[in-house]
Amino acid sequence: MEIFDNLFLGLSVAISPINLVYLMLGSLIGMIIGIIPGFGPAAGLSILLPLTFGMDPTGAIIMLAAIYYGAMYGGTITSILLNTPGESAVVASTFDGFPLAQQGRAGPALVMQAVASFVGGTVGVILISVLAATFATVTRNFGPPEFFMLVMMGIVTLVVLIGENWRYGAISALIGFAIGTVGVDLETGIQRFTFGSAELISGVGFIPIAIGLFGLGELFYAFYQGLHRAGSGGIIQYQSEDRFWPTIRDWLDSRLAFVRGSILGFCIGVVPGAGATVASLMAYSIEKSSSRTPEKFGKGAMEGLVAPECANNAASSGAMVPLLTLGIPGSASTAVLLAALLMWGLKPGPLLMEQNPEFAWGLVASMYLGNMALLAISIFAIPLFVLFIKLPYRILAPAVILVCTMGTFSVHGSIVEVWLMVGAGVIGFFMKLYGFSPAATVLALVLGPLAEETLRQTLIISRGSPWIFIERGMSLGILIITLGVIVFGIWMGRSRKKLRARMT
Amino acid sequence: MRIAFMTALLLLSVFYAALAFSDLNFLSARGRIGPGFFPQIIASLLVAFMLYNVVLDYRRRDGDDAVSVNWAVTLAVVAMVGLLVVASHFLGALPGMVIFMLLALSVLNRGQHVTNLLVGVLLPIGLFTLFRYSLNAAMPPGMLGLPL
Repeated sequence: MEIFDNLFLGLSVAISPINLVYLMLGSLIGMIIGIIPGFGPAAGLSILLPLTFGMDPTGAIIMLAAIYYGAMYGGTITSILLNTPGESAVVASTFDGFPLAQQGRAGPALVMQAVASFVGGTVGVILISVLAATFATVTRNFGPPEFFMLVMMGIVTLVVLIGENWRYGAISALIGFAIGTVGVDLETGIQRFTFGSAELISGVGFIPIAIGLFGLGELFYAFYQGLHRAGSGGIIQYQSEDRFWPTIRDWLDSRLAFVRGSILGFCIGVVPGAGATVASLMAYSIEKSSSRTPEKFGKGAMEGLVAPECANNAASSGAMVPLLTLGIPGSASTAVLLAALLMWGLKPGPLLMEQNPEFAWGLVASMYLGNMALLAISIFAIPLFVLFIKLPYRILAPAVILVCTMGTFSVHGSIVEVWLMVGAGVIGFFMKLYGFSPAATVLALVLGPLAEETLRQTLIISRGSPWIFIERGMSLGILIITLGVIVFGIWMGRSRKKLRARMT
Repeated sequence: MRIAFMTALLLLSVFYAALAFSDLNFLSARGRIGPGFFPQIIASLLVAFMLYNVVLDYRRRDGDDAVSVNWAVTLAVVAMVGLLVVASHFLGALPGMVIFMLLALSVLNRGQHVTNLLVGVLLPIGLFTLFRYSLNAAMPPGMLGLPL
């Protein structure tokens, strides 16, 4: 019953007229961001974060969260109509989404992806409602060793499971940690790597780095790939189709994919670092292996579209659990959300739901409403989004550059931070070009200070002995899961290599 | 280009490590963990990983390192972003944005003069109004003190 009381409290916050406006606005903006090729939720959130500074914290976070999961909905539209995923989490949706569109079934594919996103997102939010409070109670017993191991687990999972090259991923994370050490050392008060600059005493700002790496870096890379030359000729015209709505056969074929994709996605999303990309690829792979007709996969199987869509949206909800209950973001997008929470003086962690129930449950309740709004928007506003897909990149990109630049300046009114953003953009371009992981850099930058502080506290508690990580049960448990992730990552890498070798 | 980028990162890592080891102490005077503890661990790992990767990449340098035909446009966009920052800093946000948009569109969207002029002027005005008046956000005021 406590869950319902909490949800009613949350709904009373979320249903206020201004918060509903923020929710709708965030959902729409998120979907538009999702359909811009190369732009994922992390880029959208970092670019638009400065725009929320004038709002009250709850409204701002409701809007940012709506942008986050709205982008997950929107990313699939281009996967289906253009065979161009908006970001890595929706790559799996192209496997069967685009073949369906080629067969003249873009309408049913678009409707099914919207419903799958809704089911995945809603199942995820229901599981947050049920589990978040319990999770917070368990994690209240966590001490510095457990928090340090969780940070390491998040980074290791991101490096090992995402990206082609784990060595480049590790370097990306180490760069983030290194940037995070700039500024005053809180323990001793000594300045580190500031070169006498007053601007660097409080450290390198997270927002300029995030906007640079995700926003400008992605834009430069898109120009390098020649996206500014591309027209909109490749879009499949779904309006001319006879049947827009899915058939009963589609629903029957996909019924188990909805369940499997949603539960798997949420479970993976809860693991710090794993995220929506891993969830969607695993859901696709499991759906294919459990299907009676695996030969249909890749040729337009509806369940091949539904499973990854459910999974990536459920994973996005799942990633909110470690963010809200531990203060540990599981992905680059939730790292930006964490930065936003900290900026408004909210400290996510085991006590957040107890000390700020209006905020925490208001956010959870807004996610229920947001998923409903997005379902309607996804189905009935598709023509509007197609218009955005048709907007030439050569006009869209300079406009986005303006928002990045002015948005960065508006944070602290600092031109030095704008130059930092430009520098991060150039580095982000090369990172993207050569297969590094900007997400690992940003995650490590956010988690670096926490990692340093908890490692220091741990070694003080244990008088310098690293065995404390093994002696404490919960810390050992996290260590074992992390080792399991590494073994799984190695196995996945070898399977990928074998698959490539077979294909060539 | 990959080797050049990796070498630049290696040099930066060595510089970071040199500062971490020379300026910061691993332990404080009281024998507790000092300000250099974490940076020195990170620096050691970073230099080790970078060295290993530079050697590995140098051995495999015949791989897929072809430069895209769009490198000139990419470089031009980077330069124009730099110009936007400089122009905004000296002239103010609105003139800086208008100059950037007109220049960027004249390079990227050639021949569409009317569209470029309309988008190049109206979009910055819209964004300026949104940031300055709707969101009450700070915008570069410009050093010349133009009334914008």
